[in-house]
Amino acid sequence: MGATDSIRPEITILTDDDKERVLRQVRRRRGSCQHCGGEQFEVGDALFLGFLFHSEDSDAYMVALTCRNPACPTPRTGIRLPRSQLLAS
Amino acid sequence: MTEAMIQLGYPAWLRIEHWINVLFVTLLIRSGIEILATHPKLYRGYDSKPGTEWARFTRKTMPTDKLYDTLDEEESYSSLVALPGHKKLGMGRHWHFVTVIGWILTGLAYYILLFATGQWHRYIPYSWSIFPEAWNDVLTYLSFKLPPLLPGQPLDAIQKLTYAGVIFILAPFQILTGAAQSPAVEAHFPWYVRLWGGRQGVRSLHFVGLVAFIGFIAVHLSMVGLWGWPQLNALMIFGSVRELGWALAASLAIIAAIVAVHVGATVWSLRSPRTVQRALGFIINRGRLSFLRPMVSRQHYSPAQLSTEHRVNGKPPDSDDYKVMAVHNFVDWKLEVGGLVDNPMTFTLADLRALADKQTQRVMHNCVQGWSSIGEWSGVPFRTVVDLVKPLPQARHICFLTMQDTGRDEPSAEGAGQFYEIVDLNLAHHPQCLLAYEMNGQPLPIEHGAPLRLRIENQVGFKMAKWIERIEFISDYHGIGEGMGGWREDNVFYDKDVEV
Repeated sequence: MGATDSIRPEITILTDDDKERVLRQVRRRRGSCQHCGGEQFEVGDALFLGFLFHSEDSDAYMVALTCRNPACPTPRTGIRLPRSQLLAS
Repeated sequence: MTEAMIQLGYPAWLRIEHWINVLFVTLLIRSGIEILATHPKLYRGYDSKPGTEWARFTRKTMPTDKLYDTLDEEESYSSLVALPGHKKLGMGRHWHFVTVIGWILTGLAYYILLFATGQWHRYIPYSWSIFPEAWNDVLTYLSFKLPPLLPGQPLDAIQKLTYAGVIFILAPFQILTGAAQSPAVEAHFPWYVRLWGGRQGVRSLHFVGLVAFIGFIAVHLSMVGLWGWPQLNALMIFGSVRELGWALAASLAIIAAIVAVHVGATVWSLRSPRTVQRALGFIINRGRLSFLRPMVSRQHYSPAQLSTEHRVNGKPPDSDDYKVMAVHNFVDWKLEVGGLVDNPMTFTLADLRALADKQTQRVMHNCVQGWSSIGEWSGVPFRTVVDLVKPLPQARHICFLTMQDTGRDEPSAEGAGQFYEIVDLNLAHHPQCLLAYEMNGQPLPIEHGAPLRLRIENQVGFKMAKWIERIEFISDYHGIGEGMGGWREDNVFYDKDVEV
């Protein structure tokens, strides 16, 4: 496994509980895929935005979501969440 | 004193060179301070790890909870001390480099004439006994008295030693330490940088040389005042002690002309930087391409020399598209390579990884601002991609288009628009010209250009575009942006070719 196959240095690995919290937020926000309208997602890992991007709140994360619709033309998307809604305290 | 000086004489060439030197040295000092202002911190060794500076000329403090880059650390100095002042690094570099060309030519002429006419007797000591004599002279000055002159010579011992030191040691020292800061020289002759204690060591030494020059000027003017300013001034105007009033008027006129050049250069640079960029760049570029372009990088730093913290210049693309790509490890990212090529291609990150054996290089990154870091970069040799897409015969340059929108992403930069940089096609074949997707054995970090950045190791850092999304082979760049060869060339007036 090469370095580029491995986890990026900026990525935060999410636990199953974290991922369940993300799905709850997606459902609460009635999130749907902007490309196919699908509402089922697989949750990946998170990217801490607060440090790297000057427009972002200091506790912001981008969480990887993948649309479960096999026909979706662009299944990879994401949801922006504050730390409090993502990680266990 | 005066009779002895008349005996040795002040030939016209020496007097003319003296005043030209005043102009050049003062231009070098002011433009050098402008260059210092862009990263007003000095370090030892090779890199510029934050917090390790031994001197700083700024009160700015940087945030710890937000990515900052070295543009945020830049200082704005007054035009009274910097040429042109007000955060105009591009202009400062143009003035520094064009002046140093003139200064070196003046210095060469001075050396030749000094030895051809016997004037070297003025400066070269005849015996080691001059050192204790010089020390006695220093003690005499400290007791507010004037020491005796050397027998049959126009100077006392400490003066003779000081002039010799400035002419034969300090001036070459500044030229040699300046040359050691060229990325092309450093890339081709890594031993030369080592000789001076590393890239930041030599930058610090260059600064010490600047301080020494300023100190020399202050002491020189004090000495002239102590020993008889009207007489010595007449010697430097007419070559003899006569017509002191006219000599005063002439010297004031010369000084006024030198001040006028400084004011003119400052106003021109602040009001019409594009014309300065074109005019001075035209002069500098001839020498740069002739002497420095052939210097191919052959750096191989050891793993132990890697910087523990590699500085950053430029902030990542602050768009949702980029952030979503990043959190998915750039699976959806694609690199388009086209333009004047026989075989346009599109690559994913996986395609690039599979394209050729990974090339790894441990090299020094030279920022245009003066900081440096050593990093290990891995990726695909750019020549591999060039060979695949087959540039057409009319292709002469390569344009790297990035995902960075400077107006959105980089508040500390002047200007807006998509960041791009253009390099000459011949650089693509350099053995250490790399499309890097890894840094220090890890996927390329976002702040360093993920997923792909360029490495051209004999150029200044800003040419090594980060966050690349498209590569275009072109025949001419004058229709792109402002037509100067890149975003920084368009907006902050740097040169397109930056071997120094």
